[in-house]
Amino acid sequence: MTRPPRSFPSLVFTAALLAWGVAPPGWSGRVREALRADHPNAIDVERMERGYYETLTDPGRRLDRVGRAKPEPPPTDFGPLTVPVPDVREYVLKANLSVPHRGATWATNARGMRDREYAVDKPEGVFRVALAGDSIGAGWGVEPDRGFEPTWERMLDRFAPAEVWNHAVPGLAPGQRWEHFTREGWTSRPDLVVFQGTPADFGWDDRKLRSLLPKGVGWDVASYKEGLAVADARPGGDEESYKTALRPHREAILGGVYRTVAADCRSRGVPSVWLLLPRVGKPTPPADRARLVGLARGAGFTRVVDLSDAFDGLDPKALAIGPDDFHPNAAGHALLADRLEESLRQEMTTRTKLRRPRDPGRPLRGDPR
Amino acid sequence: METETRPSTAARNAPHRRYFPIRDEPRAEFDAEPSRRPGLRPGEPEAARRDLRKFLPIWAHLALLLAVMKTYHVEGRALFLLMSIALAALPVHYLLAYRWKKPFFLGLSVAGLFAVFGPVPGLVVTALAAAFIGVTRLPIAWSARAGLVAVAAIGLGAARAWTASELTDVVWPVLGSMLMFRMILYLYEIKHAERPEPLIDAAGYFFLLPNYAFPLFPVVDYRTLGRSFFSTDIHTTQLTGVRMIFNGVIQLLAYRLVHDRLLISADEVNSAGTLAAFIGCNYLLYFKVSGHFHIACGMLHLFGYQLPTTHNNYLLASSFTDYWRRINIYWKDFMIRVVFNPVAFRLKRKPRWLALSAATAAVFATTWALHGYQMFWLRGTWGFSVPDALFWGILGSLVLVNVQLDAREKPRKPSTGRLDGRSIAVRAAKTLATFATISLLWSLWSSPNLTAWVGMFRRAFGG
Repeated sequence: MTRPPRSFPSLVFTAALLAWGVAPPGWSGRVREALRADHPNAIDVERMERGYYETLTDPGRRLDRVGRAKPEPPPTDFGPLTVPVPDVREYVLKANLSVPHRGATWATNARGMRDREYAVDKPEGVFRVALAGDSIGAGWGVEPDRGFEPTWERMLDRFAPAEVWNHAVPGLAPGQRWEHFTREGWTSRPDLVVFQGTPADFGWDDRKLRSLLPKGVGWDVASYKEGLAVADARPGGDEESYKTALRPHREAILGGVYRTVAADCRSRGVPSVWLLLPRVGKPTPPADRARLVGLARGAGFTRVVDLSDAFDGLDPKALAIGPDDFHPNAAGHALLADRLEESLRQEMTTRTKLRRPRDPGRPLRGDPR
Repeated sequence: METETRPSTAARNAPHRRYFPIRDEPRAEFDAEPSRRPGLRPGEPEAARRDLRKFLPIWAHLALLLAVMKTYHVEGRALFLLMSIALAALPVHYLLAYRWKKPFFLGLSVAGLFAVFGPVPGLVVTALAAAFIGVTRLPIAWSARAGLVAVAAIGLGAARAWTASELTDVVWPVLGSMLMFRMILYLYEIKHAERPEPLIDAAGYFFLLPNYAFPLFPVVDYRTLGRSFFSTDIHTTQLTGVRMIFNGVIQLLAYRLVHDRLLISADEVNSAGTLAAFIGCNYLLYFKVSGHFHIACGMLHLFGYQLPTTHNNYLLASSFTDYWRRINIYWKDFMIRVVFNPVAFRLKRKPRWLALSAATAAVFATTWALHGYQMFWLRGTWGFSVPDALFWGILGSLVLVNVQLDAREKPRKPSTGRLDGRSIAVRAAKTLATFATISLLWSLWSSPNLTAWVGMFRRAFGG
């Protein structure tokens, strides 16, 4: 007869593993969070080499979603909130929307911005900031007045009449963000442009381009021209060939986008701020941070603001909109707004020529707190 | 590389005794009064003897593992669903009369297919798989049946390549996963079978419950699966299964640590240290596959299939042939059965070195081609590339050389059982060298192209 294996050690280990899994966050540490993180997002996955087996286990993941009674929308499910456009941006936000989405109200103004309404003509004395960003910039998963952008706007307004126009669109790669801003943002005649990104920006453009280029889209986009030239990408290829061609040059592609942003702003005499935000529960590898900051500095932005350490040492559960979601909640956005205000205080007081708050005692405009 | 026995996680006795058919016990004993054979119904084999004192702790351990899977989100919805089905159905299967156990497991597997993918894909997959099984049972010559299966497979392949819809995106990988290799083995078996295979065994071979959570599924051998059914005391088999699932979960958690915390991207390689970290961690991503295989085989054990282990400490391989024997053992056995042995047999009158070389080369060429074929059924693209060809070519060459060296080696003196310091050091050095070489090859295989791989080394060494 076959000798039965010893079951006691594995039983004890299983029980211990379960106890560790359900223990309060303070007891478990970051390793447990890594063990419980089932779905690294698409960009994180994309950064890594996709070996034969990594590629081959993907169908299991995809098939895993089949047959759900009510599929949960993934964080990149922007469909109901967007309208497709026939250019490199792929889609823009639907205007005049106010719908519940992912536990918050998703509201847009008449210009299709996740923001309040503004008069196009700049009122006298108003300092106008324009933000180009991604889903974190757009306040994904938080109420319209709880994102870091409206919070920061209220903070600025204490110093001088200020507006922060939010041109952020979830799911757009850096080059797409700038293309969107180029088409929509300059009409507001901003006094300052903030170009926001996250560590996920690295490699995002080439991932988008590999599906857009075969359709003939993206070749004429100014911010991509430099990167495409470096990668020696030419029309007529397929997705796989562009993947192969672009991937080794993702740094050059992102650098080209950054240089275009900084140069466009410079040519219009508008100062530009490059802003790096963290994702909740996804510590930024120092090498990624260094490379992104290096690219931004080399691109010639007026200011480089790196807030990628803003969530370091804090419990991701208290800062994310949900489990396994890297988007910050209202508390996370408030933290980002505080750090942003602190980082740009000198810049803003110089540019708005105000040295102290207009009325430090009065509540912030529209502050829900 | 020659045929050798397979280690099992549980069994340590003589390998050839493990898959013996159920012992023909004297009819008198089989037909004895139930009161004289507690835990067994008349006609049931000894291996099926029920004992709730042994079964309940196993079942509780399985429940605990399910809770761990839920807590750590191990592999998502499909696996959790199938494990829940297995947990709920296991007591019924355990208590059921022996003759109903196989039909029950087949029904459970089909139910799992429908539960995971929904009624329409489930129905289409069941119908197509049943049609293939039906063709293999037609009362015509084997070559005609094999030809019909091949034509049908080419037709489905064309449909896989040129049709895309929500339904077919599910059907092709699932159907491919069920049939692409197991049909080859099944046809090979029925060619040599003395009598027709029972329908329940044929259907049960293709419809395997854990398959619907793991499209990349171990190439289970038809005959081994059949012979392993209640070949050992059921509690031993189930304990082995629980242990395999446990090992699988641990490996999947280790994979997450490596993938999410340790692995850097190839772009970040800029020194010898980062290169070593990348290459080592990139290879360790294989934990995912070995984790899947362990859980899949563990689930089959729960229902009485005492299968061999799928991987045997492959990180400790001390040579390339040793590595080939330890990693994905089911694949190695599949290749030996359908490629190595037939080629070596055909060349048996040739010099031994030539037969071994030709058979080994054939194995690696077939392995390379079948990995593309597997990619096609699961992903819709063949995935052939220069790094892919180089990987299999180099690995095949290394194994080939190793096989020749092994064949020339003089028989060793019987081991005294004690290892001296020198032999431990030699063994450690060989293990380390094998690990380093395989990791290096693995990084080549994972690389999008040869230029990117060479570029990584240039960056690492400042070239």
